[in-house]
Amino acid sequence: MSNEKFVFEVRDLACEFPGVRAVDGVDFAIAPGEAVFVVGPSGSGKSTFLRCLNQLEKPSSGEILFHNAPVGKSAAAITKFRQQVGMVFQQFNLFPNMTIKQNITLAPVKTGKLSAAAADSKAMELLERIGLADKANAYPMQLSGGQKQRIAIVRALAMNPEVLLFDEPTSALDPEMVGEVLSLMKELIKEGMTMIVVTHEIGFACECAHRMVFMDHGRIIASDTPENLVKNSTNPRIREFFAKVL
Amino acid sequence: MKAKLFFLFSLLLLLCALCGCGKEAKEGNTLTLVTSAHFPPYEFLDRQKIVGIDVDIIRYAAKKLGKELVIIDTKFDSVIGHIVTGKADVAASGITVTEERKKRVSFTIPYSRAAQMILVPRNSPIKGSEDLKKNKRIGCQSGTTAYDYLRQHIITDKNSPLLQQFETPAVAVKALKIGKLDAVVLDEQPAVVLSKINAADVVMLPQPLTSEEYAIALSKNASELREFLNTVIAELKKSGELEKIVESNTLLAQKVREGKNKLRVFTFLQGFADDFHSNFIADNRWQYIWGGFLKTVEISFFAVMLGIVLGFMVAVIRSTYDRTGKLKFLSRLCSVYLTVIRGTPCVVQLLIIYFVILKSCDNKVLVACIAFGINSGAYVAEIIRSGIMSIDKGQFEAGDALGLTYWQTMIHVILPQAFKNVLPALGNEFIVLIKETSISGYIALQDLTKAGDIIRSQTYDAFMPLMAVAAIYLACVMFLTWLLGILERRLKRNE
Repeated sequence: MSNEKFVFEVRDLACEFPGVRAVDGVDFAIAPGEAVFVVGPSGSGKSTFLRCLNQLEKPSSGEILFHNAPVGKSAAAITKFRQQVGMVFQQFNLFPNMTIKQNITLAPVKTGKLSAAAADSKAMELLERIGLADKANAYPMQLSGGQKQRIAIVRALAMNPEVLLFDEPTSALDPEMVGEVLSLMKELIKEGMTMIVVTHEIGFACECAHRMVFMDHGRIIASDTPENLVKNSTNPRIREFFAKVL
Repeated sequence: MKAKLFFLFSLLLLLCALCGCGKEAKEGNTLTLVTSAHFPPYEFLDRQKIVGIDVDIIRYAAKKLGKELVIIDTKFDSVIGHIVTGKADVAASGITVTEERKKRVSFTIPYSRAAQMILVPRNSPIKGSEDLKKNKRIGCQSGTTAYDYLRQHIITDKNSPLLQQFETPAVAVKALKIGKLDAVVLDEQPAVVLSKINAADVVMLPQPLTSEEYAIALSKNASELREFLNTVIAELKKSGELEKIVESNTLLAQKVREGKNKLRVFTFLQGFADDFHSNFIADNRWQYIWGGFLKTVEISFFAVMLGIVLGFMVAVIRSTYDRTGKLKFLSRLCSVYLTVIRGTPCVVQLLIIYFVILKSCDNKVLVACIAFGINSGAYVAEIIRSGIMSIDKGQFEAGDALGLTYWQTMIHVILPQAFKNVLPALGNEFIVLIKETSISGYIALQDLTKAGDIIRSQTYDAFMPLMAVAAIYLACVMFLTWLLGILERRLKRNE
């Protein structure tokens, strides 16, 4: 892990859509090896905040520092930056025209990170790890939701990212598939992977998060350990939320 | 079976003709005769052999010379050309001696005196040559003296549609019989034969339009051969042998004709075979179809390729502008292209490209490829763009998030999926394109449709050429559909 204090540092971040200020002045930082879970009611700007971090949404104002340096404005700089930041989507977004192995090796090979052979053995290694080596030559259509999401996670891992962003990774899954994805995420946290997770799995968040961030109306209104936030918060908005979901 | 034999024989004839073309040297052991074997009784086909008065005379001469006779069968209007270019030694094809022809070749003494006779339908108001000037539709064999005479004395307007040229006398008479002509002017011998054959519908007027002489044409340098032929002709005339030759060939010509006519009455199949023969085998007409087919395939193939390239480029540029706001100028340009191309008829575009934009380009196939390619590109572009739009936004985002560039995502992730989604629509566009090439005839390009038109204009038979052309288009489209089906199944293996 890096020696810097923070992987991401965000100052006064805002992101506006026509008529909505989805993210409204967020200050945030995450240290290497930290697993931060972002929770809050629907429409509170959690996903937009996460997507701003790797420039899938263009921030309207504010500053994002990655390893203490601002991310450049050029397309090339943003592409380079994204190669170090993995992202896992709610809808998996696997490439249906490619086999599982091709899904995993595409980015490392095309970005010049790994040779074709190295990417291949890395993909097999990752597939072994999640027990899906036999699916290497299958297509995404042939997999279950849980399998797809685990493939999506190792696809991001194949780029050796410094931080992983999860955008509601289990929300599109059938309940019996959720467990396999969460246990993989838990393993990654134990291994010290830096990650920011937007989720509604409050139980899982309480169990695994190093820190929990609560967002409401585009702002972070609390940032604390899960226990403090869930049990000891005095903020009525937070209490009301947890009362509903737990 | 018979049609097959005809075909094989025609191939043989073609080979012979090709061999004949190769023989430039006049020395050696052959005497090469060029003729157009559609002029009974001077030259015609009897059981696939070229026979006739001219052939007999030249064969007689060749025997006397101790040389082997080689016969080239060609269209009448290129017979003289064969002599001028040295591809044949002698031309005997019922050639009338004219001042015009004397400028290019030399002639022997005449061996036959022939008149240009007028054939008219029974009960026609045309009684003599004066009546021909009364706005009548007149047919003749192309390249013959009858044509020249009619041009100079009867129908002097060069653009008049009244005077029509036919490949063979028989076809001209056929056109007369079905009411497409008011009169046909032919050399005496074929006129006599054809008026006898068609005695029920056609009469020959007793007064000739003009009378003229037939002689053998040879190169101006071949004075020795000319002198020899002159003595041969004089000898034949003197001995009465020439008269016998004329008589026997006139009879033979009649027999050949009647034999055919009888069979035509008796069996439908023979009629079919005859029609097949006249449309595709005679004169090697199948070569029009084959050549046209190759042109159509060539144009379609390259137009499809150009269309795909243009279409993909335009679609990607427009989608990129829609998604990212980049390439604004190019995107505007593409919009203009789409509007203009989709807003004007393809045939107009083809003509504009041929006559205006690529005015100096003589390669019509190239012009057609470009015109159809540009046209197709506009439709392909919108099809591909709809494919790109059908791809979930998440696919772009996944590519972005993995650190792929926009173009890498486009090429490896988006376009393969878009292509698969629009393949049926693309196939449809290509099928339309293949058939659209049938307007190539507008720029005088001999594609498949035009080939059918040419045969139709020569044989006056609409059924066979059109059916053949339709069948070939259908086969092409079915082949393409089959290929697309395979491709579609291959692309579907990830489902």
